[in-house]
Amino acid sequence: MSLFDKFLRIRELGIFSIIVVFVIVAAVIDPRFMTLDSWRAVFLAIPLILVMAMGQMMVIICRHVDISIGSILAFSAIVIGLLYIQFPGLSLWLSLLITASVGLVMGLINGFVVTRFNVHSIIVTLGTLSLYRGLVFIVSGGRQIDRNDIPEHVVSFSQTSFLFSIPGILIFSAIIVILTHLLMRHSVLGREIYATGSNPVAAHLKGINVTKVTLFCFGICGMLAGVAGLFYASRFGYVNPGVTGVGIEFIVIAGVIIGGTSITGGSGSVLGTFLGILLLGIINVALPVLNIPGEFQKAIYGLIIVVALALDQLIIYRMKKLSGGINA
Amino acid sequence: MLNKFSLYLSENPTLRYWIVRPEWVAVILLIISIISSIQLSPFFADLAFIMDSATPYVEYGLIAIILTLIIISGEIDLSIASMIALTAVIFGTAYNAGLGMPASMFIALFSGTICGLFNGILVTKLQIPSIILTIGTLTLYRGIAQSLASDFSLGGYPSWFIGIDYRYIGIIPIPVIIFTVFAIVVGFFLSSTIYGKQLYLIGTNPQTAKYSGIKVNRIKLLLFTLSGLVCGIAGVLTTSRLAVARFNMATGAELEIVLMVMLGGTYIFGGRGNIFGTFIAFWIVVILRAGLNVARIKIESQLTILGAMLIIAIILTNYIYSKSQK
Amino acid sequence: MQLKTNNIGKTFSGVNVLRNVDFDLKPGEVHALVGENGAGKSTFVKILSGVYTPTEGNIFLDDKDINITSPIVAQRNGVSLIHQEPQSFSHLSVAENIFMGHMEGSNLSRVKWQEINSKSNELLQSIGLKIDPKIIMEGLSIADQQMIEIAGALSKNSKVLIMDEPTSPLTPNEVGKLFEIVSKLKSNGMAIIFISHRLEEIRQISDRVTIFRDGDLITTKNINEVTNEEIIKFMIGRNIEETEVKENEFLKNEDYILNVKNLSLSKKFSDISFNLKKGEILGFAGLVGAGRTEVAKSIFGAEKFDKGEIIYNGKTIVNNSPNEAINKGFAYVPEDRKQMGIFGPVAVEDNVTSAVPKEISNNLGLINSKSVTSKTNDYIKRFNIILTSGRQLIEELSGGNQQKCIISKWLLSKPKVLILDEPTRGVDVGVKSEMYEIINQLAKEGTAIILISSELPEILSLSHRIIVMREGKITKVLNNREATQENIMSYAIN
Repeated sequence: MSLFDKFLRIRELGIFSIIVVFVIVAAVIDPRFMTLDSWRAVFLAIPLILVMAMGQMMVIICRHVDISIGSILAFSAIVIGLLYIQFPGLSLWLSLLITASVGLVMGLINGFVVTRFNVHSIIVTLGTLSLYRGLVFIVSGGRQIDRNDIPEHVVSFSQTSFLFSIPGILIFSAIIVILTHLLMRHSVLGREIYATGSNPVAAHLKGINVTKVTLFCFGICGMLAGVAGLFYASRFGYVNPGVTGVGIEFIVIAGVIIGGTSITGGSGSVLGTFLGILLLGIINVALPVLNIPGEFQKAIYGLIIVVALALDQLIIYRMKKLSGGINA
Repeated sequence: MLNKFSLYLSENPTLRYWIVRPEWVAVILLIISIISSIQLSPFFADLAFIMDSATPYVEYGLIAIILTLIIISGEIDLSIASMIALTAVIFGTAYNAGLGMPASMFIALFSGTICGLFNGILVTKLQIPSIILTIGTLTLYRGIAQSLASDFSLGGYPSWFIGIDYRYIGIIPIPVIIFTVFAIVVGFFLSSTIYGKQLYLIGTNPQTAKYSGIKVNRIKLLLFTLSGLVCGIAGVLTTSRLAVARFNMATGAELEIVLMVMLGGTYIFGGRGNIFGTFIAFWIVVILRAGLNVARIKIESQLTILGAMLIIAIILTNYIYSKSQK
Repeated sequence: MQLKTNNIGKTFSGVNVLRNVDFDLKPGEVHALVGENGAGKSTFVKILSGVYTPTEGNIFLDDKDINITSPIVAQRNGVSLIHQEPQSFSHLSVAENIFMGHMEGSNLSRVKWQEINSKSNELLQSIGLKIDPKIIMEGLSIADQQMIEIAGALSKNSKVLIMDEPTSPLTPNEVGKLFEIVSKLKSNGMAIIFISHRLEEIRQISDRVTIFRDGDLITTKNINEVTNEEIIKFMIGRNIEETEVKENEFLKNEDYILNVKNLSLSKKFSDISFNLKKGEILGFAGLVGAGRTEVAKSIFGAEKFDKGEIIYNGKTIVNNSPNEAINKGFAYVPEDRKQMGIFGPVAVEDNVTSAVPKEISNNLGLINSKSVTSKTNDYIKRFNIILTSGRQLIEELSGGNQQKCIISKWLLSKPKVLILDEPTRGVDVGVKSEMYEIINQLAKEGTAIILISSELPEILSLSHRIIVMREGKITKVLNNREATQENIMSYAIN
């Protein structure tokens, strides 16, 4: 096993052990943390973030970042909410198809501007973050979609299902996670995404269409943010143009980065991302248990991002130094 | 005809230097927005109205001027809006803890400086790309603000402190004067001093700059620190204007601040741009926002226009610079 | 497969870097290309492998005229280039590195792991490499990465393998391993082009050798019909006008301005010691990669060094940054003009005055534009720099004029020690001789000059003493009188 490979394993193992320690400490301090209710809360909070994290992970692996996903989520949630007001009978499958398509288009727009005009993706998506959020207000007229606008079969999607009453969104997000894993780990395209992020010049020399690969990642990232919009409507039972999805991109990015996906591209795994998101979810539920005010959540997430970035950079620096690439 | 003109320009570098510049786009946009807003409402013919409309954006304008320097030197700081909120909250907390006004102000500016220094150290020492790092500290600083203030509005300031936007010299509100003076001072610094010139050189080619003996890292560190300090000033000004400090102040302001810099024709990849452009772009944003308000377009819906403008401004500026290089 | 070229030529922005190359390569042959840096051999193999397209001429594979427009086209036609610095995906497995870009199936089809792993295994075994194809690339040695690239070429059924200085980053042991693989491939009918500067290696592995000089193919010989001395003669056999090295009065003094003692930097250079007098031009000869530039950068403070001492004017000094070095009187004209020498889209006058902030501003930092313009104009006149005005962007000037601007920039700082790294690269003949005059004049005025150059005539006609480096070490110090192109070359290559 190479140094880097080891490091990745250590990273995944590391987060896993942090999770274990965290859970034990929380459980010792307050046994209420180990109740079914709090774990249910963890696993209900996760799917939304997890689904978005899969797309964001792909984008980061190919050396970009998409910070517009919160607005994409809100737009798709508003669109589907407005449709429910008109057509309360809209089936879940059709809703999925609609939200996914809405997100896909928005993601592709991001990808198009990034690849065509060669501007850093963070700046482009900072623009579309506002652009899409503005569209949310324009389309909705600023009006909130209320609980009674959302049909019962959509709400129950996040509460129960035919399978042991496990919430539908949990099952569905598990499927997306597994599909992403298969795509990234085992498909030709998935490996080309890693190759593109690892060394774009070499990828081009080997005949990989770097533009297409990048567009694909942005497209999927948008699509999954769109699907998350449906999850949001189902789980929270309302969509508010000014609240829904605001700031969620930073939670997603925090989870992806702490999960071992390198911001310099080329590395990252679905398992790591899952563990990263799980850790954030547990922290979220455990904070009140540990008597830490919920207000600290964002600061903790921010700290996690900065520490993970610094750690990654230190490791890259050390490894380059080991291989004689730079002079200290 | 156009070819002949561009040939003529390439033979006259001085002329081209003055003609092919993206800030002319900003000037033209400003003229268009003034004319069309006067059509929209006679208010806009009244200078006092425009001045009053400008006060809420002065804090952003101040930061946009420092951000112009940072982008010219090839970096970016996206944690600015969070630093406004954090320093405002620290100011409010300190004052409510009974520290008194001068001490609270000092603490606010000092904490802003520390935040900026932290960004700068991570960028120059650890070589983390600033665009990614400041996305991280954006979350961190806002989070600390939230941890400190929770959902409370920190108020209770003496009346002399509140409402700086309602103090005037003539018809000009004091914040607008502060902004204008600051723009002139920094603009002069950038265009006429050796340090300003070195910022352009660093942004054009950091390697050559290093080999020419320019202290690239120290200058960048200084810029990030300065950015934090100015955000601290903006935090106190915002608190004076709103009479309270909240953790969610200036949410999303990085968009408007980056927009002011980009609209002003500063090159996103560094090395080019100036304060004049940013100054003009500030007024475009002011008039645009005021116009949209008069036209009763919801504040939130205006985001669409601002977002689209940011992307178009970048594409246009890149295009103009790619032409002027030939 | 038989590869033939007919009349291949390449012109870069008006400069003819390769002319009339008629070359042939037989199956089962190792064909060495030698020549000085810039002789055209790299350009030639880049044309064969599709990195460049030729300005004129034809390439024939098995007598079929083919148009190689990109690396992919070259690979499809069976021509693969092994890069000197392996182009690998460090995060991916060895097998993926071998098969990336030509895995079976459509985008969404499953990677046939077993198949690519077992095929990789076979390929790796066929070249005698014992590496598990499932491990991640990161951390493998450059030698292993190179061989994995060879395996990748084999997986594409390549018939022609081009290796651009494959041995320079390898240890002797690894070179032996590589040569075993090369002979194995050769016996299987592979045609191999092998670029190297080490004549012993060429003698050991190749069947024929082709010598390039100044963009021309000089000759092709069977390796056992030519001696090393003859090869060197072909490489350097250009006519030089014998110019006398200019002596000056400073050289009579015995005190040195700069003593460098046992300077070392791991993996770059070791035990570098030399002295330099005022007014002396000290030539650094050697091949690209011999460590000359790295030594210069360490002295200039742009890179650190591990061991050793720099004594300047009798005092031990450490330059932690170029800024400190410049303040002490050092100046460095870098070899990579575009990346480190110029500020491209910036006016000439701002380039010229960029290293002397104090000369063009007052105590408050206010720029004196008149002084910027007049200082620049002085040098424009003195060096006859051709431009429309000092406000013209430097990137619009020719290479030679850009270089004159960079030299002007450093002369403004009044350096005591001037390091010139390939000062005449990409500069036309007329400007070159002007540059030589400038360099001689500076020495006469007492500037100590370190001249790094890969052009032997340049070194010979300017330097008072010549240091020859090879692979990070000094192999010889020669007086100008005893130095010839032949003996410099023989110390520079193995």
